[in-house]
Amino acid sequence: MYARFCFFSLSRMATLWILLSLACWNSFAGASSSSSSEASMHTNNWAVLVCTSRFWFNYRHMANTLSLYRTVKRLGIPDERIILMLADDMACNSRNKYPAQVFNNENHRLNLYGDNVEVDYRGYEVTVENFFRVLTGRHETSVPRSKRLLSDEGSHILLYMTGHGGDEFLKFQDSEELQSHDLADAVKQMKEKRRFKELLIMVDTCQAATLFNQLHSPGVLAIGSSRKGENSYSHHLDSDVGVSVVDRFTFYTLAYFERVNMYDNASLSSLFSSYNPSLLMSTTYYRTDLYQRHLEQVPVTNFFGSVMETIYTDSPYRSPQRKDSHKGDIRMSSDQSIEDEKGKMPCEADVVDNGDLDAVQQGLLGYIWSDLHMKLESFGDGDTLVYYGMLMLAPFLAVSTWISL
Amino acid sequence: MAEITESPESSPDPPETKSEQREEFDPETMRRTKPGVKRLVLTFSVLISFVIGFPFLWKSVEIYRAPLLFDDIDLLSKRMESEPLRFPCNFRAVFVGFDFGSADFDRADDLQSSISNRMDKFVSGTSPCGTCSSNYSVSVTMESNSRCIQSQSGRHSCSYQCGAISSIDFRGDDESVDDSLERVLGGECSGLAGKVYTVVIVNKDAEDKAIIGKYRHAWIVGRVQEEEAVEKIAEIFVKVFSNGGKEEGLIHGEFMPVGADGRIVLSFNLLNSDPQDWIYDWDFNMIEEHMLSPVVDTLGPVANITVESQVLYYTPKSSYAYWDEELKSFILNTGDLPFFVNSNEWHLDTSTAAGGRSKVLQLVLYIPSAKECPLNLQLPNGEISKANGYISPMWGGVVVWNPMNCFQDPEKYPAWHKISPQDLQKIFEVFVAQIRQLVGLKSDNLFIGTSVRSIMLASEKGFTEWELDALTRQHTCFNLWSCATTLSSLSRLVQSLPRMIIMDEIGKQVKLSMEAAKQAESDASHGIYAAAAVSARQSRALAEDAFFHPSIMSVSYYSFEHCFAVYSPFFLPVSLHVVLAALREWKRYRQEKKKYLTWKARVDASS
Amino acid sequence: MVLRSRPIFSLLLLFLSSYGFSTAFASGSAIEGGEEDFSEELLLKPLPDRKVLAHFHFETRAPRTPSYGRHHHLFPKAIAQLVKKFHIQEMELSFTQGRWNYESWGGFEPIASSNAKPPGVELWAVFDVPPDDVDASWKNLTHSISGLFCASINFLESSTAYAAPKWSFRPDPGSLRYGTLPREAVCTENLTPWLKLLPCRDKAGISLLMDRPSIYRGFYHSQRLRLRSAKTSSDGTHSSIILEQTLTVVLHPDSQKMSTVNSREPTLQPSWSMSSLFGKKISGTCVLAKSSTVYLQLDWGVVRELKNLENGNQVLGVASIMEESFVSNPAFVLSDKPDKVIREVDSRSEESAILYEFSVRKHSDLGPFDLGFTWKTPVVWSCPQLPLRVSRFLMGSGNERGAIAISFRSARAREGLTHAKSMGESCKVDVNVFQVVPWYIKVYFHTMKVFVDGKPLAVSDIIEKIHVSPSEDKVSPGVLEMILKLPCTVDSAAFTLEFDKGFLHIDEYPPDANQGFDIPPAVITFPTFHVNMHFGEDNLSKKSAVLSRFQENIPVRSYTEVLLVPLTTPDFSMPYNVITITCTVFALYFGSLLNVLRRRVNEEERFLKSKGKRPSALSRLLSKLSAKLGGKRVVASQSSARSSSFISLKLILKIILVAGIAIAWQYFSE
Repeated sequence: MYARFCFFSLSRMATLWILLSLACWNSFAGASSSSSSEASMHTNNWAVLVCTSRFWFNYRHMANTLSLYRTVKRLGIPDERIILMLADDMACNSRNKYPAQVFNNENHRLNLYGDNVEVDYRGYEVTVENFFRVLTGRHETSVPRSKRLLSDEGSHILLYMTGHGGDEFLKFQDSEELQSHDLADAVKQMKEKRRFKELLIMVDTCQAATLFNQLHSPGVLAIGSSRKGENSYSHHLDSDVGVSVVDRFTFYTLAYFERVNMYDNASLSSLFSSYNPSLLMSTTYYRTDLYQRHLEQVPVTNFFGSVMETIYTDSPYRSPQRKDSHKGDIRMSSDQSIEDEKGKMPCEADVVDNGDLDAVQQGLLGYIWSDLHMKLESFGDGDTLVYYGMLMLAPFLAVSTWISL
Repeated sequence: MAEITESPESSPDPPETKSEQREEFDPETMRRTKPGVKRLVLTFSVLISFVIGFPFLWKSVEIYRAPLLFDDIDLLSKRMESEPLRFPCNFRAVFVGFDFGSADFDRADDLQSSISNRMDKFVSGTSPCGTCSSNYSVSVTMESNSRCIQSQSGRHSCSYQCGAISSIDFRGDDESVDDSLERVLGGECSGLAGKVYTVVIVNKDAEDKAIIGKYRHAWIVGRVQEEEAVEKIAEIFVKVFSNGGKEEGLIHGEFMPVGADGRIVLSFNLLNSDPQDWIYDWDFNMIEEHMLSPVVDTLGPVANITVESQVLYYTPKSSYAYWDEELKSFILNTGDLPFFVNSNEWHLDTSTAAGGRSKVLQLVLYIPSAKECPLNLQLPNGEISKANGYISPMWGGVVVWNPMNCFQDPEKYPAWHKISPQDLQKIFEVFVAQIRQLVGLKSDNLFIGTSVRSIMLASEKGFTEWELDALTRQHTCFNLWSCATTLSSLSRLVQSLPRMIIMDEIGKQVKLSMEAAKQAESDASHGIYAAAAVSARQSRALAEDAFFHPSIMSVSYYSFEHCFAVYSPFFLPVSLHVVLAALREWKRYRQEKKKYLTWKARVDASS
Repeated sequence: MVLRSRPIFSLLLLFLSSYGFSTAFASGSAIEGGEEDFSEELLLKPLPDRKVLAHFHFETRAPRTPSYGRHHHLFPKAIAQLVKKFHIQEMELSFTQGRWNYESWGGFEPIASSNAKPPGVELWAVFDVPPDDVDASWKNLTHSISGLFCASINFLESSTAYAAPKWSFRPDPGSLRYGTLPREAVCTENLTPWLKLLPCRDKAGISLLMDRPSIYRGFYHSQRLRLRSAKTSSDGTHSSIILEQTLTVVLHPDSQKMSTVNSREPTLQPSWSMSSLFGKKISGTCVLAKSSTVYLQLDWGVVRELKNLENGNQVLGVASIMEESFVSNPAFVLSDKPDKVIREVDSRSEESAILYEFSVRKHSDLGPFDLGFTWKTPVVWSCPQLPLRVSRFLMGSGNERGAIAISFRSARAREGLTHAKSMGESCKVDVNVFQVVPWYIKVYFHTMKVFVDGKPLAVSDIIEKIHVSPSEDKVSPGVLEMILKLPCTVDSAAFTLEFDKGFLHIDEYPPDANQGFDIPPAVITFPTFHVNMHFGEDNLSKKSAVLSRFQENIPVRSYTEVLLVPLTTPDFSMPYNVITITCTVFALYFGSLLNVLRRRVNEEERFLKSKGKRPSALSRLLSKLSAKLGGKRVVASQSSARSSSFISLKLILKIILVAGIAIAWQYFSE
């Protein structure tokens, strides 16, 4: 139950096709990216939050996405600048014991669904095509504004995805796949059209790191929950809801953000360094080579929150005297970044009790873990084994035909 | 390998008897009949049919791409980067009341050259796009009580008739002087392209003042020496008439809040933060027809604007304000401004009529509740903001309006008040100022340059004519630039993504937008501002349409593995079969041929 | 200078100020005629099966002024812009979860026939645009609404999803489009934007009660949005658009309170209060509302029971329910004293429904308003039933074909039919059926069979009027509209339609295709039966929106169940396997064909003869083995060439022949 079933068979099927090791063959490797957005100020924040997996047993993916949704809303991104995609309806699902409520924790302290949630794409609408239409902005003319990503060259965009994935792909609705090449394509097109100034891609899935392999547009920052060959695991099971309610990576991300408020200026590096591989049971991977700024200077509210750029209106038109127009400065003094206790306490408590929860279940968990580890290794060589097998196959074929003539 | 003839007439009797009869015939190395070719032909025909079949297969899997005129696009973008388009401007300086002798007829030309030099100095600092830098003509007219002389370049069709200005009484109030000057100087010049901007220097005993009118002229009154007059004239020409009098770096071109389709939706919101205390309503139709519609009409060349309004209730602000004793009001700090907008409670973006790519600007009038009233914005220098509002670039503006009856405790069932027209007008003056600010114009009517400190008269239309000219220039330039960048990025994209389907419609749109861009450039060079602006907007819109055409979706990168998986099971074995068969047949045929020839030779030799 | 600088404005000021005073004196002018106004009402009603019906009704009205669609004070701007942009005459959108229980919650009453909606989303709209543009504006409308209400209503855009009923859905449809999404999920994200259309969203007034979990815990909830346009002035010059938002919830009163009661009195109805139903109370009114009222309705059934009850214990006449002393009422106790009691004047029966009216403003003055309803004696009653009880089901089995059946069963002893009977035996009941069938259910309309009281009848003498537009693959759904004329004495009637199940393209299947596909519900209307309540004073309709709805003369309507049809769903990982297998077969065929063509048989034989006959056991074994597995390989490999290739060829031919025959037999035997 603790392991996320990561479509071994499926990813094998995907690797079966690989005969020659041409995996990294890239149709547009040489393509140069467009002129970077120079001298444009950071005007607004956008968030695209995607839960890609359907069916009740994937409750936790929706909980992940909704937790992020709640967080960015709390940090000031308005609903009309959040594109929320949920592949299935869990809150009013007939299996849900708590109608119109979604929890990401055993202690049902916080109803993620809240009172005003706005889902922009849901159910069958959550497809790879729609996802790309949102990113690239290529909609039919009749698509309303609330379903569009109307970002400009001053926008910072947070792209969060969770679901079931594998080597260089992420499954949508258990029926189609988002491939890393396509993602890179979409980001490239966004860059070309100056649809973002900076983009943070955050992925919580198995082998999340492989999804970033093909990215090559500047201004993109990517963080994944697990490296190639690793799995991302759910955090804990809620016996009332009956399924596991949150994934580890997202859980600890939230644990970090519970201590952050709107005025805060904690840096991205502190977020990235807050992940503990032993707790995550997978090593987070972040890709910064495309990103210009230093993570120490970048506050998390640049992506997870929204801070308006404000300028005084110095005087009404035609009023005689003059005042200097002044840019309202954005940063708050750090003394206001005191962690609000009630925000912090519960999540610390959670960390603790989950800690000893792990300790208690060490036996069970341990053997599951080792078992999975072995499976993982075998999977790892299985990969190469498959390659060799295919290579062997060619001479066989040749010889057999030769003899048969 | 063994050698046996396959021809039926070859004797079926065992080889040993054969070797007894004809010892000179060696079956290992020779044969009597020509080798047959039918199997050879067969295998090769199969092989060749395969080879021929391949191109058709290839054709079947390739995708359609309409041709785009890549090189034209590159040309356009290069042109945009190399020399941004400049509008021709004509500056005209009129010196009134300067005495000059009959000898110096070329004083005017000297003045003109000196003015031009001064202007070049100023120009060097400013941004080239959308200004008329290095593309202007200066003409100088000197007029005294009796005679007047003009510089050479000034002697064109629309030089104004001498003595007209001296009739004007500059002691009158500025408005009337402005209008009378307009009467004299105004009127389109048939002869030259672009607008004509005039500065009149009146040299007489009066208190020194420099005034920039609502139209395209300014005047300086007082005892001025020529050289400082030249200085002032040059600065007014460059800083005000050419650059629109905006200071640098406030809001630059790419933050012009105009939608990609050239539309702006001004959505006005009246927020009653707590209706339990008091409910305010406004009569928007009236204020629109009296104050907004002139502004909207004036901005017509820049964008086509639609105005909406709504009233929202129960909308508390989200930032913190503290009570200040001596100011007797709640104070909002600069630091708290970014958090003023309470996006969870303010449902501003309710415009379903607005198209996907048009820009919606939110203009919010916030009425505080009783427990935070009066609410005032405090500037960093400690004083209370008069406008009591702020803007956020590309988003809109907020104005806080405190009702009169702040301190009387609200009655149980609040009545509906209408904001009195006077207050409403004050509020909308601030809104107009904010709109000006959003497009990058200052609203205080003082221009303070290095040499000149002048009053700017304000227009009822919200934008004076020279401001509008500057806006139009800048906007046209920006539109063309963004059109060029969009097209070039589209071409880059299409070239870099080979599996992208390009419909014919996109090609058409690209072509049209190129044509519109060319049209805009030619109009600009001829100084036809409005037409240039319109076609520039059109070109940008078309370019955006082409780029965002919904048919361009390069989803599902078709990896080599998949390709291999689909085709290999068939083509690998079959091609191996065919090729090997062909090779072996060919080898065998050559062998047999050789044997036959040897036998032939033997026979010929024997016979 | 500034003052002098604007002569125009000084003039303007005079004009404005005069106008301002004129408006200022009429304070609260915004809530008078000609302006936009808003009213909120809640109707509570105990149901026979121990449940409670809560019916929220919000109504916003805006006159069609020139600035309509641009400047608004109370009316939601988004909706006004929709109406203006797409030229909507009339529109209704409903999100429903659960199914209205016509038997126990009543079918022959206003709420049932106007607020009982099919599960999922139902949308219909009437446009006043030229008939060619209707489809286009429908498409755009679906997109806009889907953005507005966070639902995937844009799936109604495709022409396979909506229909244009001629006369069965509404008598005079105009350019009407109708579509349903039976599987659309309904949850908080749909309620949120719906609430945002209200002036005071859920911040004050009756909408405070809408606690999401308790609403969605209910057995049935239907959230509805209706746009109508009405003539305000008598001469019809001034029309105004009316936005009517209703939320109908069927809730179960707090269980634990009920259980304690149950221990003593099994049949005593559960007592309830607002706080026990919603977990909230009404604290403070919405100051923007013209009127905010709570009604408590008692069905005529209840009233009759109460009357019998009191006739039983001779205390006092039926007037006791009417009169103000509710404490003395033997049947139930109200926590608050109603401001007014409205009695329905019913022509059909002497008993009639009673409504208690509570003004929220008055009751929420001191403390929050929490209306409680406590039963004292067990009362059993039944709700007014439909003239005919309708149900629809599937017949047949397998993935090839089946049949849809719609059956009508008459429930006896109902005022509707009884008074219809009084007209004599020759009377007929009109039943109006409107059914949309998706294209992949290929209905054969000629197979329609009609049974009345179990006996098959000729279709012609039951069906008075019928209009059929058969479905077109991937283009349009099949639509069936007909009017049945059934004798009043009918006990049961049914008609059946046979259909074949079509095949979808592989990418037309939804991700959860195995779950099956829905057939949207049929709409059954009884045009001869009208539900409308008459009340004593007639100015009620002006005062209260709900009551004016009740007084409208609308025909009885009911929706049948949604049917779930399992279609054949392929294994979606098949394509690769199919490709590989077929390709391999092809390859084998090609290769062997080539071999056979260029084989030199006699030559090989002689060659073998020349090589003396010394077959090694192994090679012979091999040859046998390979001869067993389809012969071609035999002749292929040189080692096995010893077995005479003639035989092997024949063998192959035989095998192929037999296989072919077997396959053919298999195929034709079916």
